[in-house]
Amino acid sequence: MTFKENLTKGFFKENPIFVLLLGMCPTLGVTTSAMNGLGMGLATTAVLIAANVAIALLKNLIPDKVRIPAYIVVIASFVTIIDLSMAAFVPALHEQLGLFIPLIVVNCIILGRAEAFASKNGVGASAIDAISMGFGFAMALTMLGSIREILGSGAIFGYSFVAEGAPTMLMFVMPPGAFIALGLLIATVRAISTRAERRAKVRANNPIPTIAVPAGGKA
Amino acid sequence: MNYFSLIIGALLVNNVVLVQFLGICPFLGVSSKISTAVGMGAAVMFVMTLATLVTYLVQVLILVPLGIVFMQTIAFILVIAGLVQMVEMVLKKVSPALYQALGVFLPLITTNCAILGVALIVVKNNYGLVEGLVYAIATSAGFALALFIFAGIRERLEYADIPPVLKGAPSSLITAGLLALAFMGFSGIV
Amino acid sequence: MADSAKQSKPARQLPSTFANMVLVMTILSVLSAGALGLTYTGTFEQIAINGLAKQKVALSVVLPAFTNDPVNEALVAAGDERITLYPAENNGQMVGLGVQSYSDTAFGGTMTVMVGFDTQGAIAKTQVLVHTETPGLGSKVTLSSFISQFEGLGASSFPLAVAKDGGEVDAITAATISSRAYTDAINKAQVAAATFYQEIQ
Repeated sequence: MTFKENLTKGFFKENPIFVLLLGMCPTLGVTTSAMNGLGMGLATTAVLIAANVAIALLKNLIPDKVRIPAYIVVIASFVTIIDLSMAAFVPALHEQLGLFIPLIVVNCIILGRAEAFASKNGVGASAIDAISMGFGFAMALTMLGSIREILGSGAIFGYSFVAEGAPTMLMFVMPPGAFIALGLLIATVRAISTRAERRAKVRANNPIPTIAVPAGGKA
Repeated sequence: MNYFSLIIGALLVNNVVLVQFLGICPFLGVSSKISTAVGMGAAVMFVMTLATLVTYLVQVLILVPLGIVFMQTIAFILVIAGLVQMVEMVLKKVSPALYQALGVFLPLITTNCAILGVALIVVKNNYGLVEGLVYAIATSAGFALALFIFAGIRERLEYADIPPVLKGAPSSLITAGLLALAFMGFSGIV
Repeated sequence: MADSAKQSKPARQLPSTFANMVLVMTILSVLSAGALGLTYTGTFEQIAINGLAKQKVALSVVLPAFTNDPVNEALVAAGDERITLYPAENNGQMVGLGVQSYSDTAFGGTMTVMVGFDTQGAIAKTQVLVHTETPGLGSKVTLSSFISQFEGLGASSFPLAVAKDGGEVDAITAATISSRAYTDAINKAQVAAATFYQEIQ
C-alpha cells in the first residue's frame, strides 16, 4: 500500500475501534474524560510504535513457533517501561488510568498489528502503521471521552461549563453510558462513512465531462 | 474478610464485564450463540482461577523476595500465556468438539484483559491466597453469567429488524449498556 | 523449465528448532529484564518523591497552616505500624497532627485516608488519599458532601459508626461498605492521635 494509505488508514478506514473493534476494554474503561482518553491513547501509541519497530527488526530472528510468546515479552517490556515512566513523570494521569496501563499489554491492537503487519513488513512501514493505528485509536478514545465528559460531567478537558452541582447525565460516566455512547458513536461514524462512500460511488459513475460532448453524445 | 460480600460483590455488584470493563473483546466476540458462550465461560473460569493461583505464588514466592516486582506485568502475562497453551492442548485431547467450537477464541483468552486484570487486582488489594481464589472464581462466574445472558439476548436479536447502521457492534454495545444498567440495580446489596 | 524464481517465504527466518526457541526466548527475557531493571533504577526515586508529594498536599488540606515539614518528621503510630503521624507546627508551636490511616474493609480492598486533628484532639478535616471503590458509588467518599460531616468531631463522639450500625455517621446511599471503611479508618486515626497527644503531655 502507498505511504499515504498506510499513514491514514488508522483514522477511518481501518480505525481499530470503529471498524476493527479491537481494544474495547480500555476504550470503555478510561474514557470518563477527554484527558484520560487522550492520555491512554498516547500511551498505547507509544507502546505500539516501539513494539512494531522492535518486532519488525527482530522478525527474522524469532522462530515461528515461539513468535507469540516472544512478541508478548517485547510488548510487555515496553508496557512496563511506559508504566514506570508515567508513574515518575505524569503521576496524576498515571493514577487516573490505573489498572489499564499494565493492561495495554493485552490490548488486542498491539498483538494484532504485530501479527498482521510488523511480522511481515519492514521497519519503516511498520512504524507508519503503528503511528496510524495508534493515533486513530487515540482519536477514537478522545472522541468518546469528550462525549462522555460533556454529557456526564458538564466539562471538557477539565474545563467545566455548567454550574457547580448542576445536574448532568451522570449515566454517561458510568458503565451503562460507556457502552451506549460507544455503540451510538460507532453507528454514527458508520453512517457518515457509508454516505461518503455512496457519494463517491455516485460521482465515479457520473463523471463530470471535462470536454464538450457533441450533441447527442452519451449521457 | 466477609466471603459472602466478596462473592456477591465480584459476581454481581462489581461484575467484571459490565462494571469493570474487563473481558469486553471475548464478550462481544463469542456471545452470538449460547452454546459457545457457555463453553467460553467455562474455559475462562478454569483459566482465571488457575492463573490467579499461579500468579499469586509467583508474586509471593519470586517477585517480592527478589525485589523485582517491576517484572510483574511480564511474569504474569507469560504465566497466563503458558496456561492457555496448556488448556488448549488438554481441551484438544479431552473434548475436540468444544475445541473446534471455540476455534480462534481459545488462544484469545490470553489477551482477555479480565484474566490479567484479576491477577493484578488480587495482588493490588493484598488479598490472601484463599481470598484471591474465591475472588477469581466469583469474578469468572460473573463473566460467564454476563456472557450467558448476553448470548441469550443476542440470539433473540437475530430475528429483530435492526436499522443497517446499528447492525452488529452498535446494537450489541447498546444491549450491553442496558444490561449494565440492569446490573447497577445490584449495587445496594452489599 | 518454468522454474519460478520467486521465494515463497524469506528463507532467512530462524528455523523453529528446540535449541533456537530456547535460546531466543532466553536472550529476549534477559534483554527485557535488563531494560526494565535500568528503567526501574532510573525512575524509582521520582516515583517515591511523587508518593510523598501526595502526602504533602493532603496534609496542607486537612491541617491548619504550618511551617515545618511534617513529612520529614513523620512518626509511626505506637499501636499500629501502618498508621503514620505527621506533627504540624507553626513557628515552633504545635498546631495539629496529621494522621495517615487505613481500612482493609473497604469494598475495593484497602482505603487510605488522611485525617487532620487540631491540638484538642478534634477532627479538623479529612481526605481520602487512595481508594479503589466503584466509580459513582463508593468513590463518593471523596465528595465534600460526605466528608464534611466528620469535621469538628471531638473525642467524645468516638468511636464513630454508620447509622446502620447504630451510630451517627450518614452513610452514602448504596455504598455502606465504603462508608463503613472510611469511618473505620477515622476511628483508627483518632485512637492513634489520642495516644500521641497523651504521650507528649
